[in-house]
Amino acid sequence: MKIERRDLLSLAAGAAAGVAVSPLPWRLLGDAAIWSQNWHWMPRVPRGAVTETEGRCTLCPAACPVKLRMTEGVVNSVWPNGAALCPAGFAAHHLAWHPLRLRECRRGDKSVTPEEALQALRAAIEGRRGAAAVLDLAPGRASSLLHRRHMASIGGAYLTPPAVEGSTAQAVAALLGKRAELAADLARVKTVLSAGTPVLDGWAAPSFAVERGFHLIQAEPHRSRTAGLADEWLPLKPGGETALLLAIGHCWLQRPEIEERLARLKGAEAWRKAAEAMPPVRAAEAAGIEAARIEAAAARLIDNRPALVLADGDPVGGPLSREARAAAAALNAMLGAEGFGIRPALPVPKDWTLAEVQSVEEAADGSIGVLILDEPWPGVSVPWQLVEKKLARNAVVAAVTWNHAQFAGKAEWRIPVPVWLEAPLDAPQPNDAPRAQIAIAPAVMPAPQDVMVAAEVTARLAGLETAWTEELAELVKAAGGAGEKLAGEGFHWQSESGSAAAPGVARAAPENMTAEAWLRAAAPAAASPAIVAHGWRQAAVSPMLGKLWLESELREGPQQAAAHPDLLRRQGMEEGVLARLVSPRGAWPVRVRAAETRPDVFAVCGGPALTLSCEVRPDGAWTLGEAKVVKS
Amino acid sequence: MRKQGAETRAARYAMLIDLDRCNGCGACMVACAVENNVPPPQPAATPRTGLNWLRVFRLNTGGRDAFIPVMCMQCEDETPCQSVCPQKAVELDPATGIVGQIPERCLGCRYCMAACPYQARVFNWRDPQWPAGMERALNPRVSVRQRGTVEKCNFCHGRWQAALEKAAHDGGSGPVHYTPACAEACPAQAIRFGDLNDPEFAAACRSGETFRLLESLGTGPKVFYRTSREEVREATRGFGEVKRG
Repeated sequence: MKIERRDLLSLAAGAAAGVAVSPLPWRLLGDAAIWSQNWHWMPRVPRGAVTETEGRCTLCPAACPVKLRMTEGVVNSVWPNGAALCPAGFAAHHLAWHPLRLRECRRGDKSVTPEEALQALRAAIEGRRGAAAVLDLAPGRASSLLHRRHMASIGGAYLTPPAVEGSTAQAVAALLGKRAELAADLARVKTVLSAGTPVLDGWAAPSFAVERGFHLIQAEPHRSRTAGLADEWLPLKPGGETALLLAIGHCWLQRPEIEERLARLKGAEAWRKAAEAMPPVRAAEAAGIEAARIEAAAARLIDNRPALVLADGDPVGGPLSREARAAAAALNAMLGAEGFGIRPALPVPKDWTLAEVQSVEEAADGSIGVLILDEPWPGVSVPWQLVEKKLARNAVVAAVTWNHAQFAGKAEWRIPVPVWLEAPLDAPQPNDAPRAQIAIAPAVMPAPQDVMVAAEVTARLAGLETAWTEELAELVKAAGGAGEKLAGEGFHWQSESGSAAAPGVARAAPENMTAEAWLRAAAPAAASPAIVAHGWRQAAVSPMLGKLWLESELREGPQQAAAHPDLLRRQGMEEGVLARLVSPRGAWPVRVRAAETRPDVFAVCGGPALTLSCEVRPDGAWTLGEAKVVKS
Repeated sequence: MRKQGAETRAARYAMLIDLDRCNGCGACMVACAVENNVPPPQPAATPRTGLNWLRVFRLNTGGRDAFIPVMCMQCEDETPCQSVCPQKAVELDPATGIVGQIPERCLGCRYCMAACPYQARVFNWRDPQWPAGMERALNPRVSVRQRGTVEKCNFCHGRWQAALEKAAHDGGSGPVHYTPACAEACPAQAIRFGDLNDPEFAAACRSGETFRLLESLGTGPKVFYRTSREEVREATRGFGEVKRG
């Protein structure tokens, strides 16, 4: 038989067809797929013994109990231990590897050792005796007591940021002229009017309160997450809080029970005069809300007590004006929403001397020669303008911080701190809990080499021989705990009821207000479109949380600006475009989203960096100044 | 009342989500991503390009906002994704009723994504990346998926496997109790996980206030929703439109 070229070709074609229908190519394909799972650039999951332990998330005042799953000493999973956990809690263990994490001690762009930094700070303090200060960006921790002790020993000052959360409580305390606290106990109130306070976003107890079904009236320009979950959303004009709160008071003036309560108020006459001059019809224009809705809100508050008025502002956007806080305090006094419980103080060993707590607003301008900024975890911020003017000429600033952005950019010296689970760090006091708390997380993960908590820095500057962990252990012992087990097991303590000082400094007392000042504040002249800053403090904990605003539209995240579709149309912008937020203190890219807001407002969801760039108005509110959102 | 979870290995795992309880906190989304080694978003990620096994949508119904978590519905009748996969990379496990996705077999043709009426599948457009060092915090029970493969919710298969191993270790093939990450994470306890072979759970899934998304397609989805709010139920009727919007 003669074999021709055609036969060879037929054989080749047949073989090719046969192979194609055989398992061979599919097997090769499958194997190749398996091999390609193991390319060297593919992340490898950790291997080793899996263990579990318990602890507390100390990244916010809620201090939720958690279970920790670890592989070879590295936490790879965080779960609630008998309670709930927020999204940030589930990704809290990522903080150790956050892209912004500061890992080495630096002076400007130069790498230095922690010892060099401490020596320089010590020399600066000796050269400027009496002018050292700590600005504690997370006050209310057990570690804060250590700062106060250290500062007292060198005659330094202990400063806190202006109260944002809890500022209504301070206003109420000042209003009554005694140590009292606001009944911000959401487990008991029936009605809450919130002027922009994110009650359902970040407070410790909201989920339980929602389930119980309290009536929430949320007044703010933007349909925020809290406004969306509220029973009623009042789309308030920016700056219209004072008018709204005075008008509610106006509606109550005819009630006999109000007269009795009004008599207890400091500055009652000024308030009455302002409230009488602000009927709902007049307030409707300033607040941008129909008079009937204001009247209905006023009736619901007074008829469905216990009721509460919150005007704490937004943790990222800052406090409301002093007048608005005072107006809220007056309403609370008339609702009887004060004095349900007074949070006791943390236990302190008897021989400790502590520096006074002072708001940074209260410090004299140009008085601080050496400033230690304690920024222990993400999301805490304060306008730099507020701090800057307190510094003396050639002041030395050291940021003891977890990240290399924000305050690190303002400081000459940058000292890295351990983050959650790398040291026994503690959570601050919750603002809506009636009891004092110490919540210290166990140290279960190794920390980078050069880290140092701020309390250790201030202890070394004060020349103390005792390690900060031993001091913390003393506090724990004073609370009845075993200080020796602190690092391995953490510690949790809650006080019994008792009496203590109201926190911070109250500056929003009605006694300081005149009717004219109130009425002036009730007629704000806002630019149009106005820029309103707000934010979610825990947003910066882990890049994973971007799933909630980048990969879905569940909530607004940093660098997103929400606007009414009509406003976008007027500005010639389309949904989803990249725009720029331009303010006198900087420019930031923002992605524009169509959302339910007032049609004259851009609601910018900022992060701590945006807060840092805010200006502080004379009335205490933070603002982005003459800011605008422009096409990119 | 029986404990949440499945009772036998031959199970029909399902979910019952109470929309009246869900407050859209997003804990389930983050817990799901952390549990299943889904990488964090790229800075330029959008809802269309993002990787989410579970996504919570906000429904504005005029009054109080409602939220609806949507994940793979684990369809058990004529499973659309399984029927179109040329690679047999999608398998409906008769032992659990879970529709499994096998990334090693996946060619990345994305037929399954086109076939899924719930758009519950996502595609890895690039290799997964975590910030430097964060891979040490990955879940050791779940492998990462490479570029060019499709992935989706599998009711936390790693957890099921662990529960199975534990049951075997404890001596036998007995009941397998486990809870997926989202159900365990939900602070409002809105997500209930169970077995449709359990009469009590099955009855809860079939009560008057429950419904399933796109039920009329006849794919037998095993994720049930409950709400007493008619407007929420109404808003979910055009689920596809809601999602595209």
